[in-house]
Amino acid sequence: MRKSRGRKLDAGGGGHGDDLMVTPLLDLFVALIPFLIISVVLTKINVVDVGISKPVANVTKSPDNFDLLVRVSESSAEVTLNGKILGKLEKKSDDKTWYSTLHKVLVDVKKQNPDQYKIRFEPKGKVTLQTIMGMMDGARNLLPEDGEIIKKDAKGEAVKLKFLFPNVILRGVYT
Amino acid sequence: MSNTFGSFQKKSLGLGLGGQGGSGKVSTHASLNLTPMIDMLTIMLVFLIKSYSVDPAFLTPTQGISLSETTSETAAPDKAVLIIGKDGILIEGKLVVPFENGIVKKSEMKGGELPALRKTLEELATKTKFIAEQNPTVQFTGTLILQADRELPFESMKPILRTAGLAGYQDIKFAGTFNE
Repeated sequence: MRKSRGRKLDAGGGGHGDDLMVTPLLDLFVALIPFLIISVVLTKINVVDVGISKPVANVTKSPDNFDLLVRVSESSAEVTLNGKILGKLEKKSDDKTWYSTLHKVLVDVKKQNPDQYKIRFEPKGKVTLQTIMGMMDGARNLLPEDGEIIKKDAKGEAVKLKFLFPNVILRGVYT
Repeated sequence: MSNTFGSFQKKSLGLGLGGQGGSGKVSTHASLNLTPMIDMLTIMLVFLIKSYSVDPAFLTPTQGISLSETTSETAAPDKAVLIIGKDGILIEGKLVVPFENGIVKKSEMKGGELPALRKTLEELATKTKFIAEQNPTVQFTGTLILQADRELPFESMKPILRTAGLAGYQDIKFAGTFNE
């Protein structure tokens, strides 16, 4: 019987060809698969930045006179700009539609105020973390379907904006 | 003789018995059909290698907590983690404020904040600041990653956020599972 490295002949030989020696391959699989199952991270955890509003005594008025506030309750969200109500968004169907309605209102605000990046959220007691995070997601990034929002930078050159209001502050923590 | 062996080896169920030799002896040789197993292992290996990330993961999901979904692409930094679990509040894996029936005990609250949590956070801040003095690559930024259940109401979060703010942690990051 002929012997070669990594290959062995079928015991019977004949017309059935050679069998590959699969033992080293199996050894490798058995070592690699448990290692990868243990070390691989299938769930990607990301974070959403949020600032906390300062205690009332430390609050200073914004010099640019821009105060965009979203008051969130379990069933509605009220958007105000400098105290003027821009819209009251009722939660009619699912959460995603609600967040996207808020996003559209905020895109309109951004078009009028391309230099502003700050937004404050004031959730009421029963509002869940998922709702807060969903709203923050809707307020943070510009989407391709929103169209282009252009602003001029310090040199006077046109810059295409990527963000809506990424500077999110949570209000009502100290009250 | 060899043909007889080969045909017997291809019997069903992946287990082939050794064939009878011309001499009438029953062979004791049996072989497993490994092809389906190797196929499966190859698929698993390719999937796992594809999912394998070389980026360090500073956050891992905590048992019993269903994290919120987020479209944020910001990866969790290597900062202090506060977990609001079902049994209580944990900092760096250590239980700091125990819960009763899933909420903070009234005895743990004082003036709208949690003194035990504040003490632990202040100690952690002092420790980080001390390390930052010795090691310029470390900086105290007042960042705290909050890992909590998606159904946690804001009223339960408020005393925790307030305490974190008073202890010097003003930069809060809410952890969530990435969903495109």
